[in-house]
Amino acid sequence: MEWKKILFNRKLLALLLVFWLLSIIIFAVECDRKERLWQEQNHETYTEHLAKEQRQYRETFRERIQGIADQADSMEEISIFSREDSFSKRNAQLTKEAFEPLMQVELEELAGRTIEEFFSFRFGNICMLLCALLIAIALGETAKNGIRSITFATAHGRMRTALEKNGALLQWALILSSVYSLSIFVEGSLLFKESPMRLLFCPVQTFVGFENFPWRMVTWQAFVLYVLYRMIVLYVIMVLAWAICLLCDHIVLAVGFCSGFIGIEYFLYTYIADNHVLKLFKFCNVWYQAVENSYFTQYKNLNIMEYAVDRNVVILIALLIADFAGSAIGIYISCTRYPCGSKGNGMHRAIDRVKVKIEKMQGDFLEKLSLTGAETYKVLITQKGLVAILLLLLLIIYRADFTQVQRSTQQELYYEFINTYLGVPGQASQQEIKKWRDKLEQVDKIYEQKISEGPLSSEEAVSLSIWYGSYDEQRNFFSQIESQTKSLESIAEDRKIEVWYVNQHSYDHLMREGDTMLNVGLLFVILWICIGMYMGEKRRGMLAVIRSCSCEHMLYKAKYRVSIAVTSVVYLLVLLFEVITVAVVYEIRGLGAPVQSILKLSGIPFHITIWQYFLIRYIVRYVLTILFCFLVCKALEKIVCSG
Amino acid sequence: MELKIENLSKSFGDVKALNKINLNFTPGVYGILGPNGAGKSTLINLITNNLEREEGQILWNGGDIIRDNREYRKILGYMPQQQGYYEDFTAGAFLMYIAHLKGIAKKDARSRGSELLEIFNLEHVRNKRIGGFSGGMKQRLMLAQALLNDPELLILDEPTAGVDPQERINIRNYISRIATNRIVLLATHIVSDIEAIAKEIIIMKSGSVVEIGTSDQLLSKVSGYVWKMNIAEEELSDVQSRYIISNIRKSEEGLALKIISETRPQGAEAERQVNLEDVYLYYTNA
Repeated sequence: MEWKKILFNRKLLALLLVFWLLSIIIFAVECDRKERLWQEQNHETYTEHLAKEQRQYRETFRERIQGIADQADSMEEISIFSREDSFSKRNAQLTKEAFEPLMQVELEELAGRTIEEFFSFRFGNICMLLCALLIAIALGETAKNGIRSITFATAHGRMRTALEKNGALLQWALILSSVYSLSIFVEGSLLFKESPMRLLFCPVQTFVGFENFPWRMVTWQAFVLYVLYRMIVLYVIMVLAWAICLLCDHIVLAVGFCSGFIGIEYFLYTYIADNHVLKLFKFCNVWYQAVENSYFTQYKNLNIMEYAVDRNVVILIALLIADFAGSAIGIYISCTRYPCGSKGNGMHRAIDRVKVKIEKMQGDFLEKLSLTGAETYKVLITQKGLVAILLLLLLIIYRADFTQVQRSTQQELYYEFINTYLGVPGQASQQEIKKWRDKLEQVDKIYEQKISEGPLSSEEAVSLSIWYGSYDEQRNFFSQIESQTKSLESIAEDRKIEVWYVNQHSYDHLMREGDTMLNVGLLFVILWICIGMYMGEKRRGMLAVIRSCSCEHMLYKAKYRVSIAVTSVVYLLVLLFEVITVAVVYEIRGLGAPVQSILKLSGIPFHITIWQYFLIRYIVRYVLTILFCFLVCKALEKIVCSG
Repeated sequence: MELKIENLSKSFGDVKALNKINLNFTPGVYGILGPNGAGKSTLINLITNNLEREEGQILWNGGDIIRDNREYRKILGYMPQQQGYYEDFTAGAFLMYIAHLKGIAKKDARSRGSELLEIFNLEHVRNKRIGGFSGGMKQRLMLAQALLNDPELLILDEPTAGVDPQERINIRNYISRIATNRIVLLATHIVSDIEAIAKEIIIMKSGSVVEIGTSDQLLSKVSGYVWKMNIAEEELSDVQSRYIISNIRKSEEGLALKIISETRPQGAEAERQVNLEDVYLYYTNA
């Protein structure tokens, strides 16, 4: 029964759904970004690359396994590794024995992008961790609604409720782990058009990510094992959080304590190196356990008093100890602490005193708000609009990738030329173009001369072809700059405008209709704000009171003002992100040039500069966004408030 | 100051919620009594202009309330049955917010808000979130918001539901005090709330007004139909099936019953202590 309480907690359930949807979306976005960046830098799809890597891995698989056995044998011959009771000897022997059965494994021909992305996707694990903590805190908040006063008074209520809560944590750990794993796996197989059945029924070592996984099993077995392993990890974290909640017996204190604990764990997880003497704090760590997938696929033995012990066994034992401790504390407190009567300890009273002061300040502030101010507060706080904006901000931060894209030689030359000769084509640029033309003509001449001189040996032909090919990128650059120059000359002649050399590449990026993901995010925030603003009145039963007030119309005006203001802020956030990203990654120069300098915009009949053009473009987009927001508000006002 | 209702009707599909109601209100407290579905809330929703009327007229000082909507709402104070509030607002902020909606100047709103918070014993929770209030506290806050604009027409739907006896008496006395120069319509199930303060009591049933009068008038109309008798415990179900029982009390002889009936039950004698609950039962079960 206890586990169902989460289902009845609508707010929490909505939050869990948001996290889940977010992880689904981010998975698709990350895969897409990885593909895009890979293509830009390597001129092949990531799947093609993976297929190549897989092929190579398959071909060398048996050699690798044999190599592990050989290495173990050869280590025995070295004196320092041959001591019978040493960790090194035991480790080598254990590793050899673990990997030996894999010699008989028949690998299949599969790219396995789904599996690769599934195990490298960490954001989903973070979402899962946050969901687990929220559930644990929700179940740990026992005093709410006085339910504990009722269960505490029943004959078996204390122990039974505590055990049920513990069981509920396990159930939710399983639900979270299964739902997240399954949905990401299905999404991956759909995205990469890979048959889930083929993926699930082949030996798991087929995939390069499992090259250090010594257990013989097919993928579905490994998948089930992974889901169970993740369930245990989540369950232990939830049990600890639950115990902390009960120990603190104050929601603020519990959240503060949990945050502090998570913070320290993050510090240990980030800054302790894999081979550090304190490595146990890194491996047996909330973040490492909840976020990393590598420990599951990587075989590793730890040195425990010179014995080689599988790292996963050590982790499992540590988890069981933590689970036992957490459960014992939670159950003990649930059975012994009285639900009523306590005024709390000194810390509780101190927190309450601070709370009273904050409440006074907040109350004074709220009372001073105008109608528009109060409406803004309602939208941002009561309707959780702030959460929507923060989610969008997180998305923006997540999408912000300012790493310089690796440019090809052709692009480097193009950027250098444009940056040097930015402005109206003149003598200097003409001379530079001439210089390039002469240089490339010289190369052509030498090539033709060598060909015409007589028959070449195969070696000479190859080296000549390589030499000639090394100028390909320069030829491409030259034809690009020559074609741009011709186009600019023709525009200047036809339109009588002094057009400039500007970087076509960066403006192409700026002219793309923004990041689809962010536009969807923007739309989502607008709808959240507007729908919440009107439906919230109905849901809270305020419509009857509002309609009985003489200045009801002022409220609707305030609602328009607030929705437009919030929309403007989120629009500005998205726009700033777009512009800054392009400016940092692709460089924006020559904003004062006539807009026709951008070849795609050469047909524009007005004499305006590039910055004026973009300003108009962004204003039009802004007006359309505001218009959309206004129409949504108007429709909602008609539907919800007039009825 | 006069509120006049003429031939007011309202239907929801085939169900007639109000059937040609005619009422006339002048300053004072009016209690509206009736079982669930009697049409009390429909009547109130029509008077507050929260519901579109079908037939008839509602006139405030001779003017139709729809035509003079803005002016009418300036003199209207309304406390709905369903508690409407913003859980993240503090009590003080909520009153200020409603004051804005009622067009009250900020300074006046602040002093009036403080005054009402004090009257309804909410000053100590002025800075607390409404979400953490008990049902009774929310009820008192809703009453305070209705009184913010010092309304000439105050409409209260179940104002004391969930409020403790001390606060109920407090609210009742306050309403009685302010009703000298305004019209107060008070719809409730709690008969004792209006017994002491109502100038007139309107009893509704199935969308119609079945009786209207002062407390004394109603009591005298029913006084001949209230009986008391003692029975053995085994006879209770038989008596219950034949009569309306207003009260059952355990006595030395068995059970002492108070019965409402137009005919004298066998073995019963006339009850002298008749109250408004008996009146309510008489009219709503007739």
